[in-house]
Amino acid sequence: MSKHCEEIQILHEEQLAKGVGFLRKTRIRFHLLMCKCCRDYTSCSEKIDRVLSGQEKNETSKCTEEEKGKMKAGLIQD
Amino acid sequence: MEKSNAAILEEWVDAYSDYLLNFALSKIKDRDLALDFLQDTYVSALKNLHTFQGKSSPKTWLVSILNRKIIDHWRQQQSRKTKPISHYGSDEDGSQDWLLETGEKHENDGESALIFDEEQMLLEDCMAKLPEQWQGIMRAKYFENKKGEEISKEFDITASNLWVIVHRAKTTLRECLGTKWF
Repeated sequence: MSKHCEEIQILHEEQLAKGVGFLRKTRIRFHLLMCKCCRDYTSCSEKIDRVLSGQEKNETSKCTEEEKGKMKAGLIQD
Repeated sequence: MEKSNAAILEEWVDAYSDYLLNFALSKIKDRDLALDFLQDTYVSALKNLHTFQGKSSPKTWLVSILNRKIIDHWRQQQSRKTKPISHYGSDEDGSQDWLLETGEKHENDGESALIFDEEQMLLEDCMAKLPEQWQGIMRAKYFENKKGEEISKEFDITASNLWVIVHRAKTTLRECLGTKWF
């Protein structure tokens, strides 16, 4: 992997996490157009993000007070 | 006055149950089963609270307990599925017959209710192979939803170094996952 590719991939990580400015974004896009290696990396990186964040199929759920109460009661029994 | 262990755990039940439930539901589909895992997690945490040194946040610690329980459960399911039927009849007094019964029951439940996210498990296994600092950073980023600045401060690294580490961690994860995923 070239130094330039590494730099773009690191920039991509920064972009995923907090966004980057217009110029950097354009630089990433332009590089991705030409570089399959970096395209593969970014798609993999985004997939890892989705799976680690549990966004693939997870919906937000909340424990009810009753469920929490049962868990607390279980603690006292033990 | 110091809080009792049970009082500490009760506070954790209030503070972390929603997060832990969502974490469990990202791996298994059955809400009741996920709640059972949560209950087990809190009971284990209560029993082992003396081993918790506070180096990580309670949430991270609870997530690691919960995750281990889910992985153990899933592996148990897998091994039951792959054992030959003769395995269960091998004991003379039939004392292991219950294994067949529960194995079948869980296997049926498994198809309808327990759909374990294999991708996530593979990823977790690969995460465990990362250097300790990288693991901490990835967990802070994804499981604790911390922002870049917070993570940099916590691990005493510069912001640019953080993205280098995330990049290297993901490259290592990608190599570890190899063709299993992509």
